[in-house]
Amino acid sequence: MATKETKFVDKKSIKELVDILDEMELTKLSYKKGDVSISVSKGITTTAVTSTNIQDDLLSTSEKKADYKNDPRVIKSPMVGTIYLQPEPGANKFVNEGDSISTGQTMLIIEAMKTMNPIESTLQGKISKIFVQDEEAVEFGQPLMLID
Amino acid sequence: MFKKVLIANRGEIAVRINRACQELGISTVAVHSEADRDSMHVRIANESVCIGPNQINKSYLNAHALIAACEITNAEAIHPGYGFLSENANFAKMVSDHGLTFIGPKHEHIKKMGDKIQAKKIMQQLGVPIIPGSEGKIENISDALKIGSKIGYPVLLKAAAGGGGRGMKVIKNEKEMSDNFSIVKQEALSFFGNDTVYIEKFIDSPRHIEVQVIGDSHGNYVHLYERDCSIQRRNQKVIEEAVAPGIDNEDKIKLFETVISAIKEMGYLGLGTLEFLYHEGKFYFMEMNTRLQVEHPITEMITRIDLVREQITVAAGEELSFDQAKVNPLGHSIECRINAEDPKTFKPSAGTISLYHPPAGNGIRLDTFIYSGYKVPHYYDNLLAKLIVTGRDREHAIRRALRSLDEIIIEGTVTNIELHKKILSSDDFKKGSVSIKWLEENIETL
Repeated sequence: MATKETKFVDKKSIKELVDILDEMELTKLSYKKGDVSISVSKGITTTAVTSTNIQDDLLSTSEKKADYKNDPRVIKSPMVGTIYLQPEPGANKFVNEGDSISTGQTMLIIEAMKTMNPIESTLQGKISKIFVQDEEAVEFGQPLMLID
Repeated sequence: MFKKVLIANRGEIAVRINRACQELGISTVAVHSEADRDSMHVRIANESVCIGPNQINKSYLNAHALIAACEITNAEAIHPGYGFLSENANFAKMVSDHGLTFIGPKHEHIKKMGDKIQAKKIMQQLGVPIIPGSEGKIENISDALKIGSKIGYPVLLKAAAGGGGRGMKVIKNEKEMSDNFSIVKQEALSFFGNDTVYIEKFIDSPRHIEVQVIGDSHGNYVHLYERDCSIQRRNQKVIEEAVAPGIDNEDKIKLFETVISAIKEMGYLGLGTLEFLYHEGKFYFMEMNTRLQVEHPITEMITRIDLVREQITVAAGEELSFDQAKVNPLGHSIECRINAEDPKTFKPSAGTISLYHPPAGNGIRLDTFIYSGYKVPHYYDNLLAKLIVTGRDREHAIRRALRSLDEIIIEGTVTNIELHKKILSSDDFKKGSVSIKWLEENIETL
């Protein structure tokens, strides 16, 4: 998705902050508007986001584009649709970061055309990163998980 | 009116449709394959979704991905452009079954017009002149000989499932019919998996004349005059012009009346084009294209009507913004299809456009998606740009086209610009009224 905004995350603002960070060659930048404050930093792995739970997304937004598009350790989305990380609302997630996963194991569901499509892992190993959030819209080829 | 439209196409036509949407205040969703990530249609749209890998059957022909892309972006309608899924009745139905609007005709009409034998039957019943023929399939050689002597030789023996100039043979007399009937049937089976053949009168060296129509859901049906698309190579149009030179005005008016009464009877919705062969003062219906045509801009230029805008608004249930009395063609318009191909060998040429400079000035329109630095992918068709020039008359338009072709710069990929210059400078073209065979017969000596 190029410009679709999710309910919780103002990706555009974050992207702008990351751009400013790069442009000004800064390592840390904080921004506050209303009751949302965002701080982005680079060179260190901690990324603090208060008031909203968007830490993962912040990382994934910049990481998705930069590093992982051609990484063989990444499982990419085979279709356009909406992500579900658990089999039904309230249930446990199929997998979590840090879990081991084997080839053929269901990692998430993508809903497309009112159909639930279980997506199986094509790799075996430890899930070191989940790039997508529950109910996030994904396009073809978008990184889903990083398996080490 | 729609708030958001998904454009299920790429290249110049996706750019063209995006323009119409944005002028209507409609937000746009571009879809693209992985190879088209940097394509212009993606850059100018309000949103974009990657729908698949480079192969068209997994991306631009992937109906499921397109519907899913509407779901995640909340687009209400799909504009299919031309080619790809634009004349796929099943897709049109699938779109409406999902509560979305297909910007095009009703799926029943796409289906009926998609079957060439059935389309001719329907049009004949509606009073449209068709090529005399077998009115259906021919089972055996004795029927073939009967039909042959009834309509008179030469005749064309054609595979019902054929197309693109394949699966047909000119039969000059009874002996040739006896010699070739089973061969053509056998070829039809091996090429197209269907040995159904039919016969029609062979019309030597006709012109290709097509009539643009549009209908809305309020009972309004309008024609937008004709286009001459006789400059073709291997059934691919190279140059089109509007209106057609040298056709008797009364013959045209009679044809338009018949065409309008036919689409009115059908209850046709949206844009459509009826293609005719024209020979010695007579029109013969060939097929109806139930979509936007590549060459629609020449009609827009002489009528000053935005066809894509009207196509979208009638799909949204609105009334046409004009009636027949407001369609008054002015001047003459010519379109040159600029392809990434060698002008002699016609080999397609992919590559990076290192320099691009468009022609400009009065009467010039260039519908394209290329830009300096754009890498033309080799997965898709080779149409780079459509140069559309409009002048006060045909001679003026030809001179304007030639100076524009001198102005345009496309470096980094080979184009057929030189071929266009040769055609436009030739005496035959300047005289007008050449047949659909002319380019292939004269290409070596131009």
